Amino acid sequence: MSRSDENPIYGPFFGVMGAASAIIFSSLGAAYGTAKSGTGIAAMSVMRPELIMKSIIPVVMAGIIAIYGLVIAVLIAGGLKEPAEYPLFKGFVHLGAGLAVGFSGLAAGFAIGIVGDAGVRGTAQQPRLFVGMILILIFAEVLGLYGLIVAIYLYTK
Amino acid sequence: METNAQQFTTFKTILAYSVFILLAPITSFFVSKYLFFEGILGLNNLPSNVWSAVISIVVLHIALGMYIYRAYFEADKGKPDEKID
Repeated sequence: MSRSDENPIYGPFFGVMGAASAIIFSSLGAAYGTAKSGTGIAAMSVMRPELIMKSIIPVVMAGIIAIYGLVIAVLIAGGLKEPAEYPLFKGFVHLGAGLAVGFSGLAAGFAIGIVGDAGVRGTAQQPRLFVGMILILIFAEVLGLYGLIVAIYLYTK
Repeated sequence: METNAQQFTTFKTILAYSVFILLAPITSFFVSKYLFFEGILGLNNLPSNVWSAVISIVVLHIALGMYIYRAYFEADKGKPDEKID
């Protein structure tokens, strides 16, 4: 075992925290998005049950946020090693990658939840709002995708 | 009101798309990693991980696009059947 200043015993701690925060915060955002738009769907479906298939879209998009976090968490977990082969720099990079995708996913999930709630309620009364709701949801989703791109780029350092 | 058969059709469609959206990225990640990038191309661990992650995200968005397309164009095709009776 060669432990030095570059390979301390606590090096993998940062990588593990990166993997954990990637999935924790992404799932937090996805759960908020699912719950918030789910209340909107439940309230809307009482009067317009034929719109169910259209109004599930915010829930699907919130679920995709969690898959972003899952992908990065799996990547980081696959890169973890014993402290002797895992420099501290790599731990920092993995922590940064996990936090990037985690907090971007949290933000995107909040946006999807609020937009989905208002959007499906509005679509029940004015069907032409649907295209606008989809566009706003895509732009909210892209926020999480930006975090994923930064996280993958950090991971390759 | 929708009939039971129409409800069942909608449920089947949504279930199929949900299973597809949940399973497609995971399977495409591991299939492309172990069979394509490490098996055929013989890449290292790091680039094969990154490229299979990219491929799984692309597959995920294709699946999402298919769902949105279906919901936008075909969601209310069953509606005219209501008044045939």
